[in-house]
Amino acid sequence: MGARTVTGARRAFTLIELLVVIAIIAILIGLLLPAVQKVREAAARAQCQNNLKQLALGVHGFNDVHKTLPHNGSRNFTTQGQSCCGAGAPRWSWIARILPYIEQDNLFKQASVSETTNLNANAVVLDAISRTIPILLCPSDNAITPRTDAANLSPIRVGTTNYKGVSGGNWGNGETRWRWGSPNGPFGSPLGTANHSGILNGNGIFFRADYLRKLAINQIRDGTSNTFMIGEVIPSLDIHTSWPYSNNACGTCGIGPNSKRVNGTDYAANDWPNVYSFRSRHSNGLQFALGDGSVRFVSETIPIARYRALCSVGGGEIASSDN
Amino acid sequence: MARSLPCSLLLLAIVLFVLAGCGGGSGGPSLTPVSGKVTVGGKVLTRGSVSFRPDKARGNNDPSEPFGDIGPDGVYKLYTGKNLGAPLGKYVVLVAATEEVDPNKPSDTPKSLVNLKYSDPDMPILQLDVVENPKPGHYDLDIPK
Repeated sequence: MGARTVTGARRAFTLIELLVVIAIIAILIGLLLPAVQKVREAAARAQCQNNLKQLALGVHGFNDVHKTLPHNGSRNFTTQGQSCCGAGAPRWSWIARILPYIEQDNLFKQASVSETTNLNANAVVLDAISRTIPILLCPSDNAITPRTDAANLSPIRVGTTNYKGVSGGNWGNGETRWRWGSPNGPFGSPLGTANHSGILNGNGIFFRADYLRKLAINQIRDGTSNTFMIGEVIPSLDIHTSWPYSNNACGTCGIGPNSKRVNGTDYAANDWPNVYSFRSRHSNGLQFALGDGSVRFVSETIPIARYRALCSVGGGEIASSDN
Repeated sequence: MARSLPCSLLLLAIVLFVLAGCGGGSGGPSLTPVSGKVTVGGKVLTRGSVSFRPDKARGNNDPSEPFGDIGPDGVYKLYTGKNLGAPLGKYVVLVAATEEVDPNKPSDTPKSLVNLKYSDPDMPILQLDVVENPKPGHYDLDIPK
């Protein structure tokens, strides 16, 4: 590349120099793109966190008016077994009961949520339960809604949710590592040999048969700032996920966060003994709303004993039940 | 060419600098391989899972909970977190195995293939110690029907 001496000739870049510049730009973009992705995910997570906060405020609004937390099922039910299964009974979820407190009063009225209306009462109610509620969807997960494969309801069209109530840390099903019996829920000793204990007698704030007890926010023994109330779920990995129906709106912390098989693969979506729990698409963990309305990010490597303890309201007989 | 050599060197340096961030291992508590065969009343159990819970009553306060799947041949291998093996010490053992969930009754409890008392975390029955040089069959479990 001897310098030319022709008058007026400008010095040009060589091919090598150009290639080097392009390579450097490529490296810089390579460094930048993941950062942009991270910012996008952080924004999605922030919105997800805001949704959790809105739901927690809705629960507090309900508690202020009714002097008790929203319940699953119907106060007319008299046994734990009536909490399951299907749309042919007033098995409304706690989410359905707080609709007026999350600016969904019209939907609440259309669905006639009460102690007596069945989820499949008529076409108007069926239309209501198929609706999608924007604050129930986390932007990090592209959940299909309404879904037709929801447990106990299929083929009814039903709106899905990325958030479920926390049933507690006790669980009597699935792989041995998820089985944990204590402390007991509000109804005392586990049923039989701990089986079903986390579903019908959870030691957390919301569970399928919690219509049999009344719990107000000031009765949470561990303190509201130490107790998880609402957590994140991925509907496509758990068919027990929809907003109107009680058995689809609660999950357990007996099963670890983001549970997977030992070989790293996902469980089947209908394998409820191993997936009736909390998970998210955020990297390395998931978010929970606490009883005081704050939202905390929880690492998926949290020691499971601590995770379970954070999900229970304190173990003992918390409040007197209706009957 | 002479002008572009420093540029190339700079490029090489950047690449090496970026790559240098990769790698590095992680330490952890030392784990001993644990593997055994599970039978129920003498018959091989072909599915399910096994957990070793540190036995606090016998002085093992380790926070880890080694766990393993039972394979189709009845053999389980313990993992602690994602690592193969279990810390030495005294444990209680839980065994659970169920049939698959019935797709037509998605909320029914699947039928258990092992007496439920062997998976009750509050009243554990089986005990085993993880030792350095186990005899053959030390970790085999035969559960009464």
